[in-house]
Amino acid sequence: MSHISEDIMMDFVDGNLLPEQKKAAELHLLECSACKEEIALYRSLSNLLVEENILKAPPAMANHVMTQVELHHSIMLRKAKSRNLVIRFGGIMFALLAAIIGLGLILSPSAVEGTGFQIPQYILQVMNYLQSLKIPIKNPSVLYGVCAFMIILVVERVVNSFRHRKVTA
Amino acid sequence: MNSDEITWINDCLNGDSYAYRKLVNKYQHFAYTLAVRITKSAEDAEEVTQDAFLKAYASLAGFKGESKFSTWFYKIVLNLAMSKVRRCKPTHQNIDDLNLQTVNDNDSSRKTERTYYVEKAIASLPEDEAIIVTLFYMEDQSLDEISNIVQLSLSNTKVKLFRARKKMAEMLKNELKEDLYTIL
Repeated sequence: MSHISEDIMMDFVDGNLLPEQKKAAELHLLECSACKEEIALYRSLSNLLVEENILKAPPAMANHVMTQVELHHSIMLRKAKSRNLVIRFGGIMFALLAAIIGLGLILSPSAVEGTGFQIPQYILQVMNYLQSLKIPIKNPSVLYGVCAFMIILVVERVVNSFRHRKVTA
Repeated sequence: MNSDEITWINDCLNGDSYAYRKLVNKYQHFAYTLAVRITKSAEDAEEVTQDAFLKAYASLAGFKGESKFSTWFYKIVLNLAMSKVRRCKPTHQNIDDLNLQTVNDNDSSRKTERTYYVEKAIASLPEDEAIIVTLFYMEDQSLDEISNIVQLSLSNTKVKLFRARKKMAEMLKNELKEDLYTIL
């Protein structure tokens, strides 16, 4: 009579056998005391390991972990706050720059002959300067667009930094 | 992954560090056990476990939920414990000096004796087999997850688990004798 192999025995104990394999093993165990004893050994080992496998961590360990976590959290919070401050300060500076450009557009208009459109002298100067740098901007509306884009970008950054602050605080 | 854990992790990511205590309470004994089995020193294991919890907290945003939290976390414990062992020359404590208690301890001397023999048997296994057998008997770790943690193929993991259990059964049969058969 051939005995049950040890890997089948372990799968039997773990409940990992297919129904037909399990049935065959159970039939064999009815008439083989040696295999029955081996199965009992592996089952006892499993029970023992389930019971005795997990060691108790030192009682103060969880508190030490949480102290470190709180410290880490407060450092990260402080870093996030200073990062937000930089972003907001940068945002304000950009907004001021955009406002200065915008005000310049409004307060220093100069008529362009024949167009009926008031293009500020200031913008014309900027366009001339850009053309001298070989940046071909022929239409002032490009500058208006850039200005509007900057303002949108700044507003979005400022709003985002406020929203981020709410989540992390 | 269970829904409580998902909630705790999301709460942590939203800045509620107190939610992390629930994860610490749940996994502290498992992580400590794994660390003891690798470092074979109670002090080193405590240090490794603390570092692992802090590292997991700091990189929680990188946890995508593709595996269970436990699988991801045990990998961190395993890596830190391995580097600790590699960094420090082995100063392994004798099992008798470890003064280990299991989670299920009820102060009976019979249970303490069993804990001692189990620890002794696990300590005598090669490191990888000790890790695999420890993980296998931890809460709901499948062989797939274990092979992912230890970075071995599934078949290799299965072979190592088989060998470890065979060796342990032999050792415990000699040490615990009749007592082993009564633990049913």
